[in-house]
Amino acid sequence: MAAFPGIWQRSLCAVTGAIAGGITGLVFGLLQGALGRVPLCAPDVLGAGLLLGGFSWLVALVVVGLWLHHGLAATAAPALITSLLTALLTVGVSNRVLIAPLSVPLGLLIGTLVGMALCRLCEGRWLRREEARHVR
Amino acid sequence: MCDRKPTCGSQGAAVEPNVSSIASDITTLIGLIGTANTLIGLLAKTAIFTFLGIAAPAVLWLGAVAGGLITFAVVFDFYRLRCLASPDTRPSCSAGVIQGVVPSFNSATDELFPFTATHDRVDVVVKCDYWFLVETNAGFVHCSADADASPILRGYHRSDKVCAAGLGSTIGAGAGLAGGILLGALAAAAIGCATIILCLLAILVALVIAAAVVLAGAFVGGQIGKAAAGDDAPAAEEGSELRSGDYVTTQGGLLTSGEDEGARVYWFVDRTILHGRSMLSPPFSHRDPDANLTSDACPTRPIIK
Repeated sequence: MAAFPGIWQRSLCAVTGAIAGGITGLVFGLLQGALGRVPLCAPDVLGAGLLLGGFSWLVALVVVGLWLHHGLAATAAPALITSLLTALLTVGVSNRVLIAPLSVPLGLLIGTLVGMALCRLCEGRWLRREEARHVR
Repeated sequence: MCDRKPTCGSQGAAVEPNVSSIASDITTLIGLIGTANTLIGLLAKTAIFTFLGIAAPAVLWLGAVAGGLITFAVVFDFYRLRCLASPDTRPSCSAGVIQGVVPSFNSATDELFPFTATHDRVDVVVKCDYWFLVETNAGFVHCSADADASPILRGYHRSDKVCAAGLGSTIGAGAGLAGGILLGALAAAAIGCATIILCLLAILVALVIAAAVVLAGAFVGGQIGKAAAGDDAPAAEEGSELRSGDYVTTQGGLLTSGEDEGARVYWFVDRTILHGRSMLSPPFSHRDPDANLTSDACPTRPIIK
């Protein structure tokens, strides 16, 4: 966990994912506190994941797009994919672990990894497209 | 005689921070406050907590507390990093022609969230003698849109207006914190925790309302602070306001800024000396100050053997 702030200062994708994961983990962790150690069934996990994915996307848009001045248009699509994937995975994993206070660190970890992975994927495609353009 | 021109844009693998440290701070705050609240939530379970006549399940109170506290801490963090922190900088001097001046509060976002406004920025197309300052320890190099893609060095001028807005926002957010938590808990209690999805919605409502009230306080406080400070556009030493096309020597502390994609920037400019005006119009090339600003006010560079 101590290495995370360093990663978050070097990858906008990772920090966007971490914000989404942290928010998802916070809300789902509170819900787990109210429910006790009772796992949700699959449709509820999906519903909660989608709802929290949408909410954490809005938070990521405000923080990264507006407050950090990266722009709403540039942030919207990548943040949506990152937030939805992160929220679904965070809810799914937290629902298995069933330890409410772990849901936030889990969300941060999952969000950071999802953000970094998606960034690598897009970067690779972008590089291949650039190479193709130069060859032409 | 110019050295090799720095490559514009990203300098490759991200060694230097290229994302604002505010983003990292926000994530850390969510982590700390979130973990603490979920831990308390686990201990409180389904307990009903009553305060000032508002009875709501403990997790809804905790949702409101988390929303309010995280938002307040973020507002303060912006103020701390913009105006209170003293990061390590390297005293430097450079000269060139001003490509443009970006004033603070230049967008609707900065008006709505006054704590996010950045200081006035002056972008200078530097003489090739100073390219090493743009490139050393940089993760990114900004360039002009001229045919030579001339390197630009950004310089931030400390703005009293930005700091007054930051302080006002922090005070306003603090004032809104208690009200936000109460309103958030009240609205969430009306929804209740009868089903899983309703409970999830209630936690979200508690969080959003508490955050919104804190942000409303930050808006009011920030606007009051901004109005009290008055205007302070970046100016040269003799008092004239800096404009695009001015030949200048800039002195100040350089650092690598995550908010500028990892570029080297002056944070802050201590001194600007005006040397006259260019006859050309932007975008400027380094060839202009190289040819027309032959003697600037920087001390001569030591020759390193």
